[in-house]
Amino acid sequence: MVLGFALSLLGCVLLSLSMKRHYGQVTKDGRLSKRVSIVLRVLAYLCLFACGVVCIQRCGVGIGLVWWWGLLTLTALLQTLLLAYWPQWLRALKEIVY
Amino acid sequence: MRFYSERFFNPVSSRIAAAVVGGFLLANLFSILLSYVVYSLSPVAKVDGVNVGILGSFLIYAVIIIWVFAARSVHQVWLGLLIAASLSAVGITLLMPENLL
Amino acid sequence: MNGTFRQSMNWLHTWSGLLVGSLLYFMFITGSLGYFDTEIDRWMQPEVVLAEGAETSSMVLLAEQYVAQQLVDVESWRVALPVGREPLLTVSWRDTQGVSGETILNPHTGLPVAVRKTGGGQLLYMMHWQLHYLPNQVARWLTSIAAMFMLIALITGIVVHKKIFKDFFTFRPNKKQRSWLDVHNIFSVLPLPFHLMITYSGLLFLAGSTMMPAIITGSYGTDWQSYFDERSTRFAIVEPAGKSAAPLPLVTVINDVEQRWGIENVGRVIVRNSGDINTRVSFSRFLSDDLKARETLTYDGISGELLHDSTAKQPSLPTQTSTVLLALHEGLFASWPLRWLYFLSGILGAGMIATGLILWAVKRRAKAERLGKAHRGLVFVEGLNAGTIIGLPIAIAVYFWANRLLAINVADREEKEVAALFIAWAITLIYPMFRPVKRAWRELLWLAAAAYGLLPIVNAFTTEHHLANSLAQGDWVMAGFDLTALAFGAIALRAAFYLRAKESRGQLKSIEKSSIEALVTAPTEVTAQ
Repeated sequence: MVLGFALSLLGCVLLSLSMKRHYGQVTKDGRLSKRVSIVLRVLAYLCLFACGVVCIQRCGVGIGLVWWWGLLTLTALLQTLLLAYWPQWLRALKEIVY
Repeated sequence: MRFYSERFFNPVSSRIAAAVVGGFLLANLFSILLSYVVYSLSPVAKVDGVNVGILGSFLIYAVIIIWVFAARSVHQVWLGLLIAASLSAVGITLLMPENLL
Repeated sequence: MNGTFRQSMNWLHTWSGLLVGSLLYFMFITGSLGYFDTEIDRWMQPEVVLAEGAETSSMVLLAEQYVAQQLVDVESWRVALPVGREPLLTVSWRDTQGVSGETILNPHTGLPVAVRKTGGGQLLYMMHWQLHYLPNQVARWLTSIAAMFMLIALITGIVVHKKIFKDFFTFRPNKKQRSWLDVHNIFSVLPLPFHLMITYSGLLFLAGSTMMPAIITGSYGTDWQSYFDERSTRFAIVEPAGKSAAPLPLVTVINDVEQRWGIENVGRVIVRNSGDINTRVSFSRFLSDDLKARETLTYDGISGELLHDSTAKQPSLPTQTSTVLLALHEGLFASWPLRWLYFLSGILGAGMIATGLILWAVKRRAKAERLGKAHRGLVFVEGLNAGTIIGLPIAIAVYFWANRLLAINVADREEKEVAALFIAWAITLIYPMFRPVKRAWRELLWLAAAAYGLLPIVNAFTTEHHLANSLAQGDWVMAGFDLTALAFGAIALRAAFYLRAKESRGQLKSIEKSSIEALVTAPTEVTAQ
């Protein structure tokens, strides 16, 4: 389930960054081009979907779906807090990536 | 006519009454009709028809309540409830299982 | 209604939330705690002897022995086995006079264990729909109506929230009203599937007994027994025949169960019409990795013949739908990490209600300051908010304190513990009426920090299962409870400090009055807002 958590968190990070408002929060300078936004969003949905697949594979459909929604809720909450209070960590992450 | 003051009998309280009382009755009627439709017109067992009725009842009631408050006038609300209730009552008497009463 | 569709829905959302908000908050808090009811039970009954190493079949036989040797004229009895999260081996019975009783047995010796009487976590969880001090039916109606209001509030909330995707991750702290709205949105939208599921399934639980019995009557008339028999996958209950017969020793039947299922998952054994020719013995188990209903095997208690296997028939689709929805609500299938996610979602739900109430009060307060006077309803709601949102958690902590501080053998122990809870809550509800509201919030938060933070210390002074011991023994139920209490205390403390810092930055408004002053001095004004 750690993999599921990681995928879900990554998905949420990417999804939020694909939005103009939050991209601006993390990168002080950047303007979000439409192309980057779409790429980020597609990657994000892939991650979130993959998380669902992992959950269902491990626990069957019923309980897997419950895990999936639970993880989505938790990681969305974490990402919201990160954006509001510690955007510098996200900035650091961005530096590491490129 | 001081008793019928605006404080108690006004459009808002009328809608509240319509939603709580009228809507509740209508939701029950719709759900009973739904359960009849499910097991009369398909090979589903009676108990399952009833369960479908119960499963849908709260959604039906919620939709009715929202419509009561979204409808344009109070007249529309009461008229609509009356018409819908009458139609459901007709449907229910038509489809009611024979050994009930 | 009054204006556009969205405006009507806004009005409906506000009032459906405001009228039953406190009751819904109570239901969400007690319900969330209910996901850990057996763990709380264990913390509240630390004398319990754990069943590690004891075999299910031997425990059933010990229970059978206890009933045969210690009880007379028993009509029906049941054994609850320590399987899964359940820590206790309990025997409960009813005799031919209708008197019922219950004993907790040592799972290794079969002898009764002296465990302090307490409502435990089970009682907190049951208050979630039964409330307390009210007739059962009244409470069920109240909670059903509250749940219906909740459903309306959820649907209208979704309709009203314009930027549900854009605002998904948005939280702007330190912006007064805007921040409260952001938090309310986050607590509502992020766990939205949970909120919708929990509300709808909650309504379904009580549907038959409260809001929708007409649907059953519409097809079954007065013959509800047929409805239950047809719906249930359990074997129909038979009356005793009045002829006595020698019961078969359970060992024989246990062997058959072992062959079909394996005995480890059996959670409950029920013997009905004991000593009669119509004795029925049921074994039920609960598979914790599936969203299915409890499965039962029912045997004739005299001949040992298998009469009914609930797993033989595949339930119909509507039945499966109900079962899945109810299983999702109860979350009994959940392993402990998933259980924490359930708990988190429930607490977020409570937070959704709390922030909604606070948001309403903050908005009205801002308007009142512009006009220079505060409506009495606003002052009442502000006091009620503080007393409920922080007061209820304090009251629950007092319940735990009472469990540790009351003497083990005192009479009516369960009722006294619960009374402590409600007396504490009454005090925290009245207290904000005598203080300026912002100060009342802060003081209640200090109290909450103390109530939860000091709880592990009270535990340490009154039992041997304190934090150091439970960590050393790897007893994660006990340790988890103490650690969670510390965490809640820390959160309350942080909040109290935060409010103090805000006040010292001069944000306490001059129009602030205590509720009592307001009630006495507020001028009468137009009632509409």
